[in-house]
Amino acid sequence: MEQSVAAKTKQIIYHYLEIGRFETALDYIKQALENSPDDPELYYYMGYVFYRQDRNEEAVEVLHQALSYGDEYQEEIYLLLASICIDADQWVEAEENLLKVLELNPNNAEAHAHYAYLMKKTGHKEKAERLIQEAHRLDPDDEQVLRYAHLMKLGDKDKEEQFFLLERFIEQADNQVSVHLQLGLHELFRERHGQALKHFKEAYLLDPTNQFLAEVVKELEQDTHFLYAPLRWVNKIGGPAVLWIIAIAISLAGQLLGLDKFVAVFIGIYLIYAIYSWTVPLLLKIYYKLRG
Amino acid sequence: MEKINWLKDRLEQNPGDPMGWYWLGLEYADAGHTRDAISSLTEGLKYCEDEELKLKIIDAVNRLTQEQLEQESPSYDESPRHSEDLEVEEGPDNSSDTSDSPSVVKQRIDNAAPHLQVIDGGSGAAGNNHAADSEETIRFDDVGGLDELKKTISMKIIKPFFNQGLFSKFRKKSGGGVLLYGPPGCGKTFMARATAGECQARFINVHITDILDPYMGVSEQNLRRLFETARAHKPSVLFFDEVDAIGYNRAKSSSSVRFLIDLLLSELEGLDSDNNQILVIGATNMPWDVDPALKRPGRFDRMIFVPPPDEKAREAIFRLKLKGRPVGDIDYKALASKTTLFSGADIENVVERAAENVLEEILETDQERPIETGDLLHALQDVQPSTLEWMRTIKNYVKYANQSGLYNDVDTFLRRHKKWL
Ligand SMILES: Nc1ncnc2c1ncn2[C@@H]1O[C@H](COP(=O)(O)OP(=O)(O)OP(=O)(O)O)[C@@H](O)[C@H]1O
Ligand SMILES: [Mg+2]
Repeated sequence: MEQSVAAKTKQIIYHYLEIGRFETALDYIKQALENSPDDPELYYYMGYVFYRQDRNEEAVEVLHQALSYGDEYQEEIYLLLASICIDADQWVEAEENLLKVLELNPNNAEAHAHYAYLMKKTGHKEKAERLIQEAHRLDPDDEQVLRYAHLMKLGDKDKEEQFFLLERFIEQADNQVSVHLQLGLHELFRERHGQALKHFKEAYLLDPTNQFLAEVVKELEQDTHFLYAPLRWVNKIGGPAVLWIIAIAISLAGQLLGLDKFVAVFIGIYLIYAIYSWTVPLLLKIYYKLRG
Repeated sequence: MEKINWLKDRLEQNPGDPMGWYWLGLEYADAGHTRDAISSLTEGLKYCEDEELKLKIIDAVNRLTQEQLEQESPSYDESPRHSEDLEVEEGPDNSSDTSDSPSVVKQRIDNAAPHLQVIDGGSGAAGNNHAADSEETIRFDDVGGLDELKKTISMKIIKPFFNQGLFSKFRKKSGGGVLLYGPPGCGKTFMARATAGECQARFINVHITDILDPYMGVSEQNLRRLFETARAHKPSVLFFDEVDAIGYNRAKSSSSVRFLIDLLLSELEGLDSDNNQILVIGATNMPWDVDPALKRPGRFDRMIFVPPPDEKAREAIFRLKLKGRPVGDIDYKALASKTTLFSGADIENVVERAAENVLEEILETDQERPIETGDLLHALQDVQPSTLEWMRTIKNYVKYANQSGLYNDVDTFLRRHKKWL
């Protein structure tokens, strides 16, 4: 009886997490914790909610709590901790957490993709490339790995590979919001601005509570050159391979480079957004792993 | 089996005997017919006035539901019939034409209350929407203000519901459901209940927490059972609260969410061919997250905007929330005029705060006094209308999403409240 109530509540929590109703999910998590205050799975979900609500400190705290209550979910927890550290620019801690994941499971494709992202962000171009290749090899169908691989190739000469990766990503993607975002970015890099705007608008219509998407559409409609010019510029000096570094540089020297602040915000938030949705399929895996 | 038959005979003579249903339930349980057992017990609960027996029944149902969940394999296809048979057997009003016997219907509403509650929510799940099933009937008179909305609902829902013959003569389809949408706490649920009251139909509240179940096939079964209940209790209103959680846009979800909506779609389709004595109403704060397929003809094909309460409604809500508390001579008009865009829940919040402050003061000064208008006016200064965020979201959204005129009501409302947003 007790057991199955808990299972039912977890099912509800999981459902609300999946459809992005974090506040409601949190209510149910708290309720469930009253009956099983040392269930690491619940703390993991709670950490995930905090992470998605940009409450990173609290997220870290409850994830450590989850670790202290058992070692069933270590792999997932360390990966989530790594994402949080990457977002907070804590490179060293991020790498430590990723290494822990890979120690637990050397074949974790998404950890490889995260790691590649981290390396890219810190300027280790070749290692990033190697890692994303490895992620690709480990799981050629993984939505997030494909998304990231496509992002990396955006500015390359090799258009064929870009299209291939984009197509594969769309095939695998569950969520049309991220599909339209990816398509929008793709068009942006090909300087087809009208098409890009169309995709960002589609994404917004599917997700109108997303503040970032609302901003992007508004900005694109009002005045386009702010967003487009720097991307072209990025393209010339070596494509998106340096995009990540630029995103950091912008925050340091934005004015010097003559970049509009909005671009920095755009790039920054897009990356966070991209990372955000990484964890959803991960959750799916944990859930089904648990329930056979 | 003999004992079961004997009990059934007895109950046919006297269907309102809770003890009889209880015994029958226990017999079924002993014979391993869990589902029939649960049906009988719930039936007994309807007529039960004795608290002790009630507890016993609830206890037994909980136990059986649990057992059932544990044993159940997905092969439930042949069994749900039984429960429906039983439900139909008992009532005197199972003729399909109930529109001419409203008193019987009303009685049923009053008696039949906890039925669903026990089957679906009794296991102590986190959902808190079950309570609605047992509340008394609400009519339009209980809803303050919102005259325009009432008129719309009356024209679009209630009249067609009562005049199905006329509508079909003019080939205007009266079937299909209604989707109430609007900011949180502004009376969608309340309005749906009142609509059921006006139609003199049984109100069946469906929430995602009544459906979801971790065991294979049980979620499907739960959803099916709710539709079955609606069929067995015509005329009825099947109310899907927070319908976006069940019918979440498939374009944004993974496969594990999609099965629910597929099922919901097929059940709604089934209703269509059934007949029109079942009204389907959905409510949501996030109409954009409801799967487009659910908004097509024959499903939730009429969207109705439930705005924040207007001045008259706010006055009514203040009265409602202050009822039973010691109050002075309250200037309700003043309160209503100062709470534009406040939701019902916000007003409740204001009242709570004011009461707290007065209480605190009394404890400090030892001078008892009632709540005055000034206390409420003071309290509402600290409360931001919670509908603002929703209103700003939809304001931006309709700029791009109202090509088809789907959101014209919202547009009108926004124009009227421009200076507040
Ligand atoms: N017009 C009204 N007249 C009287 N009471 C009202 C009115 N509108 C709202 N209320 C009160 O406000 C409370 C909240 O309304 P209700 O639960 O129906 O909101 P809702 O729109 O369903 O909210 P949610 O989106 O959070 O589910 C009701 O219980 C009711 O007491
Ligand atoms: Mg409601």
